[in-house]
Amino acid sequence: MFRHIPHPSVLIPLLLIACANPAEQPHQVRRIVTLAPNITEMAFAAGCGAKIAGTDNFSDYPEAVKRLPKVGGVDPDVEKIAALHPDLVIASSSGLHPSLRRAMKTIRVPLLVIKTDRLAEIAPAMQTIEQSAGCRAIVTITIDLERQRRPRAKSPKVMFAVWTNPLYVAGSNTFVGDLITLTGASNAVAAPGWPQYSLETFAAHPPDLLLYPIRSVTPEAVGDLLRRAKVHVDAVGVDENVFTRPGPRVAIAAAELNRILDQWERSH
Amino acid sequence: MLLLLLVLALAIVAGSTFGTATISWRDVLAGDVTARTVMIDIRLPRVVLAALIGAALASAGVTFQTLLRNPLADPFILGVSGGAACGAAVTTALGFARIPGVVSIVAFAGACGATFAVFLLARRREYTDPTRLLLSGLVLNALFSAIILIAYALAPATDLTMALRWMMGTLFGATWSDVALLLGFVLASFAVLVAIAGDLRMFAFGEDDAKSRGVDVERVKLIGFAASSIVTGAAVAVSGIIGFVGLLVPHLVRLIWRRDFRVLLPLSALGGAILLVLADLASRVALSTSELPVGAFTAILGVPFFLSLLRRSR
Amino acid sequence: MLDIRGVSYSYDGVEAVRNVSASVGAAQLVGLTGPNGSGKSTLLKLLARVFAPSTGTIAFEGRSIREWPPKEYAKRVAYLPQDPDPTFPMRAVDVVVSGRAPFLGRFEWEKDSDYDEAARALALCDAADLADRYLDEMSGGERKRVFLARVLAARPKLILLDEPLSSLDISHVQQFSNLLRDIVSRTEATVIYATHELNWAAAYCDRMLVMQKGALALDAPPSDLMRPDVVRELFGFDASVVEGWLVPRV
Repeated sequence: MFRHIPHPSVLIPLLLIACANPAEQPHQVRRIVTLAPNITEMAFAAGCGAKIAGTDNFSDYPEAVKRLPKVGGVDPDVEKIAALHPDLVIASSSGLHPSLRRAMKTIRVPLLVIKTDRLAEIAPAMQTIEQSAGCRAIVTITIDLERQRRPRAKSPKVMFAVWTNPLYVAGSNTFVGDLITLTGASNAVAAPGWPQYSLETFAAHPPDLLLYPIRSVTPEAVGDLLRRAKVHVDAVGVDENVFTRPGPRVAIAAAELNRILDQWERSH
Repeated sequence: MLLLLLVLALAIVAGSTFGTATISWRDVLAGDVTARTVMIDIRLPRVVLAALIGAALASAGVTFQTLLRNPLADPFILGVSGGAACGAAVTTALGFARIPGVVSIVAFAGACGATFAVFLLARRREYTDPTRLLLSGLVLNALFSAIILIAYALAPATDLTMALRWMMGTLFGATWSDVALLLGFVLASFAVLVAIAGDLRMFAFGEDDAKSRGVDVERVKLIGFAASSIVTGAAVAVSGIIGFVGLLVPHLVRLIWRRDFRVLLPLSALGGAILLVLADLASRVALSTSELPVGAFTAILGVPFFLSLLRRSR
Repeated sequence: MLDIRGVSYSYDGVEAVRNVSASVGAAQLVGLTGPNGSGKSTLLKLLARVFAPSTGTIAFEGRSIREWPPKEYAKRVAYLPQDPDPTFPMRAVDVVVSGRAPFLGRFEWEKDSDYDEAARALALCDAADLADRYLDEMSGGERKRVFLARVLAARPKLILLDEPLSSLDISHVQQFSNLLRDIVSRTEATVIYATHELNWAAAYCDRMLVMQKGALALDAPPSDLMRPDVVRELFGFDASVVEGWLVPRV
């Protein structure tokens, strides 16, 4: 029943649409273009899968997405977007191309910008998409995430590295940081954002556990980092599609993280 | 000269005393194992590496300025930076930047290859005209920039930010083997430059004049460019492209001492070492939460000093 | 002392010097003149070993200059190019003492004796007071004197100057010409200088070499040159000679 009460964030797309087309009423959305992999996944999970006419180059989940037309990577091709005749374009606030808003206004396509920097923003984002696109689905992400919340007796210090040379890590106010605290561990990084971490501090106060996305940061690169710091740290590679996309699959990431932490607890 | 050596020693001590981990020499002497690891295996090699890179870039810079008789020359002007960055960019675009060491090797190869190409372009019948050299370097750098832009457009998103960071210069993760390797390059090139220093300083009056004074101008040019470009390539391979040191330090030294090349060479090397050690220190401690690019601080530290010297000079 | 035989030099398909032959002894003041592009500078550069001749030989003190070790030659033959301009500011004394470079070993620094020679050279050029001043704060004439001192610092036997009188005021032209003659008579060196100043050269030189399109058109004492018919043929302008000076016929 509560699903039918519009979430306040639905005002955002309404406002945007209103600004773009002051005279028009919000009409039925039949064709959507998504411009980020996590947005694509959220749109599918929100029940809008059938309406997605095209995605960005990096979107690849679910399987059906791979066959959809692609409109570009870091620079979305406006012509390609226009050729798909979308009623709605959804982009992520991180990595938003500076001229995208203007371009969408020019081709008179409503643009919805979604922010998912924190874990808690994912569920409302999916609801926003649902409302704006007129889809219906049961969004269980909040419950799924809550199920992964664990208090732990030994709260290990976990560091998530996105690159090793130089060392870039997930900070305190990122969704990865939220995942870490959700599953009962603590983020070894106190600083906000995605800062470059000092090798000295890493060596002087190494984390209990080092996580890294297994394809872009190879085990060799991690080995090289540990060699330079002359420390031994338990390092585990994780699936980056789940860990670096703030979308519906974060619950899987949380479950995976719990599994890793349980194993760590058993051996310490 | 002794003054500079002293300042360098002080800078190294300062650079190694301060850092993000609150560890000082006292902790090391007291026998704290972690402190020892941090100081000896992480901080000290980085500081020494900074000194070596600064020395390499500054001595290459003063050599280029003397050989080309151009105060605006820097060690990257003959395509070295373009070649190195191009190599790094292509490596990143192909996804190989994740393998440790690959970017450095390709960058070094790119740097040397580019210098070689510039020379081939500019050489005409046993004679390498300085203007043609500069133009060839400019043109090649432009070509490399184009390739770099394309490569970065195609690169995987995560690798992209990190590759950009390399281009700004970073001394992260310096080890003693990095130091040993670069030390070899720096000593070798310095020895070569010292050997031809007497001839090089005659370039100040023009190539024709130098020839009439018994200098084998073409040979000195080749040797001078080769030694400087190779050591610059090695520095870039280790740490990325750190700007301003090669251009600024020779001018700083010239403004203070006003002597000929034989004196300017070692003074520039020492000056470059000091500047980069201090710039690296600043890049590490300026923000408590994150490291900043060292290339920013070479300018932030060097430029005001340079301006004040300029105002005070005649 | 200097024996030039059949020397030619071309570059980029242009023959700058064609089959020039001349013999020059010691203690001579030789004026090298000719229209622009006639090959004066190139000939001087050939003598200074900046270029090597395409054909022909140049012998200095009986030995081909190609066989002379470069530094030994530089100790005896000094060259001053047109408009020398060091890229970075230098003091006069440093400029002059750098003229001693051929005497230094690879890792040697200038000795006190070198600085003494520099002082002597500066004095010879009446520029001793300019020693500690920087080149960029000097007038054109002062700078030329400093560079001449640099040439003299090596006590050369043969001095080659490319357009030393250009851009000097008339009073300095006379001063400089006197200085050159002084040097020849005092040190027994030979000075060959390229110039456009026909009159001044003719007034001071023992011998005139006139070049035309790369070839040596005339090698004679000044009196043979300073005649209206010769001048018209070689330089293409009408003039009469008044008291030994060429005066253009208006």
